[in-house]
Amino acid sequence: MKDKRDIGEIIKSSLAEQEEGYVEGSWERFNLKQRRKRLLLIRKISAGVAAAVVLALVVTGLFLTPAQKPLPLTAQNDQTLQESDRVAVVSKTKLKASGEHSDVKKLIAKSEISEVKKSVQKSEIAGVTENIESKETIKESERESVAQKLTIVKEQIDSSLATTPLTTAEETQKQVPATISSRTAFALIENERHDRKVRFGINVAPGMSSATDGSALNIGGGVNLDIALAKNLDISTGVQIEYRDIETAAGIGTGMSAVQQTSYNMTNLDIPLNITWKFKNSRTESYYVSGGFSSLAYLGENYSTTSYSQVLQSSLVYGTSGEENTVYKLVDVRTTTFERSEPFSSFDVAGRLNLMVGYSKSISPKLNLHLEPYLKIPLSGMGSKNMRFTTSGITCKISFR
Amino acid sequence: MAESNYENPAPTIEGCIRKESKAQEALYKAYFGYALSVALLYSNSRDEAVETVDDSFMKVFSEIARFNPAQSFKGWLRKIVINTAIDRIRRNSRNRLLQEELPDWVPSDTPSAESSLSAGEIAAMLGNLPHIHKTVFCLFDIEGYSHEEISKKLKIPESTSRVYLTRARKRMRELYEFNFNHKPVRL
Repeated sequence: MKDKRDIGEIIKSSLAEQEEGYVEGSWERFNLKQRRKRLLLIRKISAGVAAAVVLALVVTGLFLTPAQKPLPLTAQNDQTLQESDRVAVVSKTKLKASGEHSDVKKLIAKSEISEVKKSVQKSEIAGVTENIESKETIKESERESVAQKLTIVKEQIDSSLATTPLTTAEETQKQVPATISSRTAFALIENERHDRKVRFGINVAPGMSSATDGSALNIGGGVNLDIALAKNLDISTGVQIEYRDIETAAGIGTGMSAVQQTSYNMTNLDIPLNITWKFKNSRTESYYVSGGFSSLAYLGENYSTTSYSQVLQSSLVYGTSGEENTVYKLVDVRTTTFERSEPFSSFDVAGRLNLMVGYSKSISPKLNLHLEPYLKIPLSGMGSKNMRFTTSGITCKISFR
Repeated sequence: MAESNYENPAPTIEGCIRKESKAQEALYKAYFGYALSVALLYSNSRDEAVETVDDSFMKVFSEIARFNPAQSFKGWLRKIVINTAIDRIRRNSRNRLLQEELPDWVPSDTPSAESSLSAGEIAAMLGNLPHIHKTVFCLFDIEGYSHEEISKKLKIPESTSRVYLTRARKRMRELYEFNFNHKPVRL
């Protein structure tokens, strides 16, 4: 122990001479760990893809609905009929080639039956029967063979359908890995239990409501509930009360100086239904995006509309000599009207689109702090006056379980 | 097989680059002991050390294509194990890194009178240091890192690193004297 490095050198030299040995079973444990990690990665990617697909569907549904109207019912029927006709013609062609019942049996090979089974439902077969019967080109004898053939097809399909669930069940049983260890199963159960967690929360959400011709601050707050669908995918709902007071001013087009000021304050309940995807998730913090719809119920609506206009007013003026003169002058007129709606007089289902990104930080094992900048876009007119305003702001939320 | 891989790991490494399971198994089994002996220096328990080794091998298998065959594989693996252990320490820093209380003195089973220490004796002595002191001591005295490098790795000031090293050395000397010269140690 002559200098300070002595002890370090002794340890270093001692360690250089010695080495731990391989512990049996370590590789197998490591392999299992690797598999779990891969499974986790697959789950994360799947959750991400699912969230992206849901969001894409929502966005597509919102913006492309008018362009992608469903086909009229008649057109669909026509299409179905054409499909049925096609099947009928195929059946007829095959039947024409065959003369007798035994030939029909030969003609309908197993592969053909399986193809028919996949594409033709029982109802369609009934349609085919009707179509075949209605065809004038089919001779009486052919009709009999067609009926026979269809009976055979039906019977075979019925028997195939009857045996299919059994086969599927057998396959499923085979697919269940017989080698799955109890440890893995336990881990999966644990994960499943973890996924079922529900978080409650309270939030306050200051923001700004913007209409085309005015904007004002608004404040909201409420309770929320997050239900885990998968590790990184949650469904969020709750109830939030919002208050806003907006004043707008706009020209009403009746004169140069004619303007209208509308002041309205509105208190409403916001019931959101959002899907949240956590794209970066760790034990202490997570980042996520969320999207969905809000339904709105209105607790109070007060509207005050003030119009300013100029009217030409005539007045009678007497001259010095006693003659009557009519004088016209422009007078400013202010008209104010008040309107009030009864609570719950209107209700907008999925009236707003919610988009938000969020950051969540764990402040204790059971408490999380969330910050969520949000944007709420109206999909329909809000309230009894069908007002349209976009709301944006930041939600500060504390969630617990 | 494990021994031959240990001497010449190049073919095994090539197999690992091709993601061959057998090559990975061979490499893992060949270097597990070495990695574990390094990880034990930076861990509080054997289980934690084994976890560190597994995490290190996951990094090794995913990054092995970047390994330069001109370098020593053991040196490369050692660096990965140390970095993985430090990552683990940093991750658990809230609970553990700031604890400076000395743990209760637990003497090794049979103190020897030789100048060379057994792995168990070293582990017992290091186990009597606070975790952060032990880490600084190992990084400086065993791995040869500078205080500047240690401060960057552990995200602590350089002066703190020096203080921890001084305290760790003092404590280790006391423990060593107690073990080998049977001098009384003030605990």
